Amino acid sequence: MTSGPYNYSYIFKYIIIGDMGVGKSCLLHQFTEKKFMADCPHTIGVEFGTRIIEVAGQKIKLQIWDTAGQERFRAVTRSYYRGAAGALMVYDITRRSTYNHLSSWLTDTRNLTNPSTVIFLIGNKSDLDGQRDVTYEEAKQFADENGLMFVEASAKTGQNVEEAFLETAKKIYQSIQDGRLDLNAAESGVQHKPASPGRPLAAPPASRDPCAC
Amino acid sequence: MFEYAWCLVRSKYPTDIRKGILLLKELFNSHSEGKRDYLFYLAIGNARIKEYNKALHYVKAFLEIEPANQQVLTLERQINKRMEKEGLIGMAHLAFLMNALVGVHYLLTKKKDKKD
Repeated sequence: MTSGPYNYSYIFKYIIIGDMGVGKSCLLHQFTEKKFMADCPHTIGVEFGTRIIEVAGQKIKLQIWDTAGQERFRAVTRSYYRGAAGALMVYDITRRSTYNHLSSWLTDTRNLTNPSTVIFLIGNKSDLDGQRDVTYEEAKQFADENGLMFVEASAKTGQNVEEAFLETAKKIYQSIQDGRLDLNAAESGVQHKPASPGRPLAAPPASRDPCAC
Repeated sequence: MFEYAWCLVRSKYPTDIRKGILLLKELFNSHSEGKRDYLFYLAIGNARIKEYNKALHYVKAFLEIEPANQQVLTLERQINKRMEKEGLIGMAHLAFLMNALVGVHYLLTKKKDKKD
């Protein structure tokens, strides 16, 4: 069905945000490599990952910016929110402080993205149920009150990781279908594949400048 | 100051990048915390102004602390790739120049020969 050098119809930009050590990079790694990365070092600035998925028969390339959670990078990572179609906001179900900071992450997301950006809340480390510090019900209520999608996931076992990334894409795709998301707006975070196969699509930032800093 | 240095290192102007590198060096020497971050951006800054050997020096220093850091290993691969690519382009330029010189020389001598 698709022709030309691109085997996908859309590009969606995602960002992953949340406190340090909640497992943002591990979630990305699990999603792109299907592997759990133990002893993952603190991310410096941002990291970048991609994967092509399929929603409603359409191939979609996800460009995922994984940000550093350390406070010292807060100003740096704020520059990556702009133009994100999806924001995955992560906390650690075994550390209450990471949950308590969600409102501050949410404020940043609302201020720095556009109204159609899909925000997905992920309670990571669901495999450590014995050390749980935040109940599912409490987080679910927070998500509902703020209009966020929500799952508890585990980057270690892979539980619900695919679902979180895919459900976000489905919601974005639905917004496009409903006309709520303007594809021509520069900051929609979505790029449509050009009709003519010869015309180059904007290259993903990583291939232009590998120093994804 | 770290944020300012970060912005400078990402600038498209080499003078900014050089300034960012100076600031990062200062930060590295005066702050015990966050040395890994300074090393990383020192490597990035130097790579961006094509000071690849210096960049690799900072990469090595980083890997001595965290040998398995994927972000830095990826950066190292990219730097090596660029060095190789630009080395090849440099060679190609040189070869082109040599050919051109030989050509000009040939034309000049041919003209001379005709005159004679």
